Amino acid sequence: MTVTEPVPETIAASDVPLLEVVDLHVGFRTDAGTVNAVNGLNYKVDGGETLAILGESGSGKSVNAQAVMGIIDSPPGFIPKGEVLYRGTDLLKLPDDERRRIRGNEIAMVFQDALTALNPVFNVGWQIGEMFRQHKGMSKKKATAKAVELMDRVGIPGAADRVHAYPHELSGGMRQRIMIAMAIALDPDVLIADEPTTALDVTVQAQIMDLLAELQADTGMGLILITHDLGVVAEVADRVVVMYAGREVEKAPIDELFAAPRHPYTEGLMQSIPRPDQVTRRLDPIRGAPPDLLRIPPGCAFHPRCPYAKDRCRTETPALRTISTDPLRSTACHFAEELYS
Amino acid sequence: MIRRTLQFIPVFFGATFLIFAMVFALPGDPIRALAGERPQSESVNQALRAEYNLDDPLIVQYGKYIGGVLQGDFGTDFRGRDVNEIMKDRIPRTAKLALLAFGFEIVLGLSAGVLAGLRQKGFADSLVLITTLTVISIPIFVLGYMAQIYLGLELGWFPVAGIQQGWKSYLLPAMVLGSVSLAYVARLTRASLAENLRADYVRTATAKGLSRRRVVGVHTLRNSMIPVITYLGVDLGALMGGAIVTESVFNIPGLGGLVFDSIVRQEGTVVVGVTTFLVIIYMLTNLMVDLLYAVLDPRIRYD
Repeated sequence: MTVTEPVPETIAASDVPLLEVVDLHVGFRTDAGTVNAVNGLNYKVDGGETLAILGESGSGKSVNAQAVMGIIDSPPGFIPKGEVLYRGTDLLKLPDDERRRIRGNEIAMVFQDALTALNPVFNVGWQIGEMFRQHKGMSKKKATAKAVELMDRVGIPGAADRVHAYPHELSGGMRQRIMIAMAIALDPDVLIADEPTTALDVTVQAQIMDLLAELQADTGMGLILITHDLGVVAEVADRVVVMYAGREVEKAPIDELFAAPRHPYTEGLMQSIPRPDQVTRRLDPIRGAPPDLLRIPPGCAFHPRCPYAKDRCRTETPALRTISTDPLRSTACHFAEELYS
Repeated sequence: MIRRTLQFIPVFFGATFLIFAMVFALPGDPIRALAGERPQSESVNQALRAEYNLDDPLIVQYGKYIGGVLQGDFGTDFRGRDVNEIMKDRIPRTAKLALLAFGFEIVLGLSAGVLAGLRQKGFADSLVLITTLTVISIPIFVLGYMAQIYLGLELGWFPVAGIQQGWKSYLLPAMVLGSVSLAYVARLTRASLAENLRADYVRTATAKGLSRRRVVGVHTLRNSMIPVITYLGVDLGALMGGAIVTESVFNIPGLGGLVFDSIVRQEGTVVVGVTTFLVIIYMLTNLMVDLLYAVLDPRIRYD
């Protein structure tokens, strides 16, 4: 198998985006009916860029990542529509075998809870080394040496001693570093991090985010960061896609999104974060609960919770569109101009 | 590890003492039973009672007996025969039967379980679920007679009973003896595999770009085997001791038949001898399971 190791610059310079998701739909068949987890999602990531996908639980952000990786359990999961273009090739149309070679090798993923995401019965060196043994046909000894190198690179002190440790013998932060070491083992061009810091405490969270940013700067890979945490987004992302009920509701460069949201849902998210400069202010959570994906409300999926909802929102599904005053941003709200100008 | 082994000492004494006490509490006088209908003088009775220490308190009797067992001497029965000698012929027969049954259980049970667990709700899965449920519901002696009639007499594939044809004669009884455990192993493997296939680490293994074969065979199977191994270990002991019905249906003179006959004839020493032997086998298989357990699952450590 040939493995291309492109220079980061060429990725960014090429016309074809590194990874592009077009009109992606993902459903799950259940006894109660079809759960529509992702309903027409579009985004692009280029080399060296960090795209954050922001949303609550059930917004379809993780399912989207699994669809890009090709690790959705099928059945019950299925992809009725959409394209996942990696360097212009639609991964959804590739034969299983070719798809598998891209997984882990060119597009890799870091999962949320490293304790359950790592296999409890194999030592961490074995699990990292497996990438080299399986994808590159390396010997056991060489693969273990590579694992030590990687563990060192992700900042695990005494890597040579810990290479034979089992996941349960390491701390949460160390385990997540192992997870990251495994994901970057083969120098992937795209790294998808699905809530990589959610299971960790705050100080460790910052270390892991710094590590990801540092690795990205070194390798020039594209990073997709899936999170519900606005704080994490603010620190590292270049651009943000805000998801609600399986659709994108707002897309914007990070600074502009924080400066002024252009969708009532994003606005609601911002208002529900505690801010130290406004101690006396009461937190203002979004009313109601995220929609049941079996029965997504007609029209704008957010209308039952939206303080500005009008009749049109209940019947007509707003398409994601560029805002006339701000060509870099797009929103899926009928009344964005009226509300935010 | 050493502590684990030491734990067997109280278990050994506790179990053997219980068996000994229960046999001691059996109704009837073994010495009188020995004479049957014939009259027996009181002096002979006295002499016999003394020879077998029957007038000592229970705990002293137990002490004398277990002292012998620890030196490999299971004593003599009331007809003066050496219990070691009686068991010597029968142990290999029961062991052969149990090991063959155990083999069936592992090979067929595991394969059926894996096949069913990989494709839940598929054809193989339904087939395995239905057949195993049927096997579990039918009493073992019915299964035994059915196997004799159809596989033994009508089709003539296997010898029907007895042990005249060497290994071949053990095949049919071993299948019958192992059938119920086989059904449990298949179901346990199926459930455990299906549960582990949904685990996060399996998703990680897939995301690493490993082949399906490797994801299942290396990453999932090892975790799924942990509960199955536990069951298998306990079951090997049970197969050795639980063959009474199968042995009598297929007319195999093994330990099961020996225990049954000895209970009827009130041969306490033989009953205690065989059960003590089985307790030791049980403990050894359990020790092996515990060791295997630590190999399979590094989260378990005996220090």
